[in-house]
Amino acid sequence: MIENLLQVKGLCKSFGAVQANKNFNIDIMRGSVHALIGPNGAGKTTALNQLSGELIPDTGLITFEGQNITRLKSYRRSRLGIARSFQITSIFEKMTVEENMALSIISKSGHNFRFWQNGLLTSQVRTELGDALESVGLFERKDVKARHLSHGEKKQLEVGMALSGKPKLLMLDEPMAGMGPGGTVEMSKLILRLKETMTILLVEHDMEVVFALADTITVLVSGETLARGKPEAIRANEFVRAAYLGDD
Amino acid sequence: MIDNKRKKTVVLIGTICLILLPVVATILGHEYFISLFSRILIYSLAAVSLDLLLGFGGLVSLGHAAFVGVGGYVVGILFYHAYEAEPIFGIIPGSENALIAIPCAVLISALFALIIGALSLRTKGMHFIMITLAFAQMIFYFSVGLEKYGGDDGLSLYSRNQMAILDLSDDLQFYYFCLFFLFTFVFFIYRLVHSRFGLVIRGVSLNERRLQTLGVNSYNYKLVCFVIAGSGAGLAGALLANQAEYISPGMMHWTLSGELMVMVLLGGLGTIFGPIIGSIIFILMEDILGMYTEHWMVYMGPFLVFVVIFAPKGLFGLLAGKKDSDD
Repeated sequence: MIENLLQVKGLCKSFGAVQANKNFNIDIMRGSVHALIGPNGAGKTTALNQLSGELIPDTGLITFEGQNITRLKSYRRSRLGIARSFQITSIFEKMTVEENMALSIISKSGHNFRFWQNGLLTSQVRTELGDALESVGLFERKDVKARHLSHGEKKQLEVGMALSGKPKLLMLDEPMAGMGPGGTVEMSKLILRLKETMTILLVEHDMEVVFALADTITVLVSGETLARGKPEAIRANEFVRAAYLGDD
Repeated sequence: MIDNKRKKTVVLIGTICLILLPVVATILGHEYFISLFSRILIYSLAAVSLDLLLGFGGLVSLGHAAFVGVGGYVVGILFYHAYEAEPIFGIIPGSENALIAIPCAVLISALFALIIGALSLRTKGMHFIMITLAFAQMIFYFSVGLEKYGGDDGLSLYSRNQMAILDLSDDLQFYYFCLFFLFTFVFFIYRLVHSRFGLVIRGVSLNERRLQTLGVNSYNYKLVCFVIAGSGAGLAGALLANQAEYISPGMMHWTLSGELMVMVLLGGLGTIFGPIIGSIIFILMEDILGMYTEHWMVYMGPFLVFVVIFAPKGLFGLLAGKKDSDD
């Protein structure tokens, strides 16, 4: 049995005259790190937004664990186990680190129409919060407002929030962007650790990171899938070199 | 339950002042202040309910007065039919009983909020502002068309609602009646914004897209928030009809929505207690400056600009300390 967690067939998305994705295909194998690379404007984030449900494709089919989710709302996909982080860090800046994490934990439960009990003191939050903060190394910083965190810490928090509820598929949109060398190493370690328990779709510009982490790479150029294969094969592919990697 | 000392002190002093106000007014022989402050308490209630939308839900509604009006009209219409001994549509008897009229007013404004919210919350930003305004104006003109209940001129009630134990037509007792509702509502809202629901609602206003990718169907939360705020405004409307012994379409005119918004901004957006200070200042200025000129807004305007620019968390932020109110 081929263990494809997520399958995308013939995805098309246009914004007016701009065709952001043309016949985009991707199959993500369970338990793998699948990298999606491509030059700026190739339609990587647009593709990701359609996988997370923030954009609905014009045509095409997305299946997750055999279920058609092409038109499913983003909150429903999240509950099926699809989580994502954003290219531009997307956290709740005015809340504390602890509140951010608590919010991501309670988001996973069916409903939160609890009007009386303190949001941080619910049993579910109490049991998971400490571990969740610990796993991304932010326990010491829990009372700090998120906007006062460093750029790297914000990224860590964002990934930590995506991880709550133990997603099956984690989509990371340029997790290394803007990070120093130290941060990149830390994040790579985290991704390798996460790989053991979940499938990861990695959109990344840093080629060293991609070739070090990915099991499979899909190259997207001008909205179309240019190549797909193992890192070695992609590195050797002359079309990819011409279009993207730079012919050296 | 309030963690910051200075904030606690401000709230405590404010509470004591409001409780003692009628006593002091009576001693000084200014009984007029009791009824003036009853009105202030009622506007405070409406402003606090609007703060839940503006300050926590990030939902800029310019139609909040509609629910005040609906609450007022429910009390007025029930009273009218009881007085005329003529059932509404020939089946529903009217009522002068506060314990029937006020809950009815709250329920029916909640129902209006549910319908209006369900439709308006499908839009965002500017469209949301405009659609709430449009609904409020629709209800306003509908009330103007209610010839039976005075149309344009409104309807005088012959007295306030009746109630066992309390005599609501006594201004002193009515003041404490209003104060009870204000305190209860504020306490409820305070617990609400710190609850699990409140955490989600604040998340919606800060970063709705993120929250959806975390698994929250934000629409439902916004709708519940809208209904709670609408019920609060309906309660205020029911009390206002009693206080003035009069209802009119003016209660739901968009200018009242605007005034409530000014009270919230003046007192402090997203501070819960702030809008009470806002409505005290607003109505006192209206009352005092209004004696000298009908263009008292000329003074109010620059004052509001000053507060909004120099005190982002309003007057309450200034009193309670900026750092803590910045949550």
